[in-house]
Amino acid sequence: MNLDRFVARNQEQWQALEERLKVVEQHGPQRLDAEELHDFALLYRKAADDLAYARTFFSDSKVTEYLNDVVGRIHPLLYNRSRRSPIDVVAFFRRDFPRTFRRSWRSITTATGIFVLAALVGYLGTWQNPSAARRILPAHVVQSVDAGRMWTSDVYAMAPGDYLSAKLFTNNIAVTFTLLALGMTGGVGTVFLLGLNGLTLGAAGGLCHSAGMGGPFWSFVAAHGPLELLVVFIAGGAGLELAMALVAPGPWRRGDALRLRGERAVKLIVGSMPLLVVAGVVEGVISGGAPLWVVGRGYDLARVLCGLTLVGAVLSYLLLAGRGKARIAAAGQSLPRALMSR
Amino acid sequence: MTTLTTIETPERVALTYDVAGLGTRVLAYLVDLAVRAAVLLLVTIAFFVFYEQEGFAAVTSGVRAASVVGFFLLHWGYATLFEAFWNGQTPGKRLMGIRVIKEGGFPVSFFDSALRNLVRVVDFLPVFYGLGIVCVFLTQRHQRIGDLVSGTLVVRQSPARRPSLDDILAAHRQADADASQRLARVPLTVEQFEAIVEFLRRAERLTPDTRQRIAGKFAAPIRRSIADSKSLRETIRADELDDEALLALVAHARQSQAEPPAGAAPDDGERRP
Repeated sequence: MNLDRFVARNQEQWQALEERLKVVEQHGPQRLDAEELHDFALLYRKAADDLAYARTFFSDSKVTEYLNDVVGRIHPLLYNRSRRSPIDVVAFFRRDFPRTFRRSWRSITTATGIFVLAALVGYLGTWQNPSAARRILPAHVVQSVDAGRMWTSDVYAMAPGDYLSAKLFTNNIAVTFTLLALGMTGGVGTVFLLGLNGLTLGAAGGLCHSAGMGGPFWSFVAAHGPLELLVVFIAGGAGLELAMALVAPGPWRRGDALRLRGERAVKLIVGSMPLLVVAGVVEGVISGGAPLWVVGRGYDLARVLCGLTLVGAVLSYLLLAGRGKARIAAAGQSLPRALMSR
Repeated sequence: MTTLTTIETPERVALTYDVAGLGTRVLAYLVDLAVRAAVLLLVTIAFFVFYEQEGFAAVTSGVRAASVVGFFLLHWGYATLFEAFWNGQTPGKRLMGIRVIKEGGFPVSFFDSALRNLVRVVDFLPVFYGLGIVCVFLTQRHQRIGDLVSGTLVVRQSPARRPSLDDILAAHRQADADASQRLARVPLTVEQFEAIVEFLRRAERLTPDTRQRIAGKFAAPIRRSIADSKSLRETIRADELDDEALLALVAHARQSQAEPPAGAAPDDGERRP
């Protein structure tokens, strides 16, 4: 068969296919009725078949290029495993995120361990030897504590709560992003950043403790600290997921392991973002303001309760949500499902 | 230089994609950088214009909080959100005619795009995308580290170059017309031609033997004249056709030349000797 006859023989089917494709690209597969959908799938197979033929016999022709283009446009419509919209927010937070959290428990626990260890070292180190704090903490923090006040009170006195909240959560989210990305250094960067943060927090606590300001310190971190730390552990775990794919890919090739764990890692980070917004608002509005520890123990208790409630609620969500049989997300979007459901 | 990558569909048909080169990607990146800088500049100018206005102080705190979130989104969200919700393209990529796809040829999901753009931080190391550029050179599909992790690649896609079916059909209609013009020049007397048409009309009703015999008789001189003429040999592969199909083709060509369609190509006259 020569090219002309090939074209002549198939052009009607190609035209029919292209008509349907235009409808699907503009309005989605829902626009086609049952028969048209069926035709569309058949015509696509035929075009794929024609492409294979054309590639063999007319490899350099325009027709091959055309068929490659058409098949290339339809293939993702037919075989896309996800739905048409790039993200299903409801399904993600109802099932996907908590499941990913539970699936990544090893990495998250490891990240927690690294952070806690570093924090303990920082705490005990500065408690025993307050001068060490001068080497770890920023100068203004040390000076404030020397003067007997919390370094945070200056910040809270100057900046309004909403601005501060926005500053805090964008900054914290950027830190979780970095924790994830640094996983690609084989985990060295993630472990370093986790350790540094733990050490700093521990050193600040130790310094306050040794200066007799343990109360104000705990009262400051009580409300937002637990949730914020939980998210840091999750983000550290996300970085370690990537690191594990590089260092110990297990039965997979490194590339495949990366893709597998990369998906987990990014889901952990994306899911953490709203948690950090909440923690940031709490830190900007509740943790600061007037030096509340002066007002009385009752306020401290309220903040401890706030912190524990938040972290308790989030943890039980992460541990309990989306359990039970894996349900396939609602049909009706992708073509094969649309075909099957009819 | 073009690099092609092949994806095999479940029909076992190979689809090819044209992988975008480093230069195009750098240019797209610079365009995006300029777009972001322009947005930042406009917002800053607007801020200073309104700064002097009455009542601005009252909303300052809210504006400051919003600008912090806005800056964060511009810095971290720009590429991710555009690629996830705009067919794998940022404004820069669109301008350069490239887009991000999943390795299987699928559109990128929000998570794919978020992951490849978060890992950008590592691609950037140690200075101006050093690791990313090395990685693009070393990988077959020109992927930077972020692409490798998220299983994405950047391909060329310029709609201007998309071949249209109409063009192809038009080209082939012309080819068909030329071919049938030449076929119509197979020497046949009017009697022969009319006999062939009559035969074709009745062929269905003849016994297979007779049908084949008569077709062979009519076809023999036609095959000879095709074999004798170079231009006819190039137009039609007579030995691939059975006698009756050959007769049908020749008769059809002759008929369509006898009564040319209204929109016949204007250069018909020049092509005739």
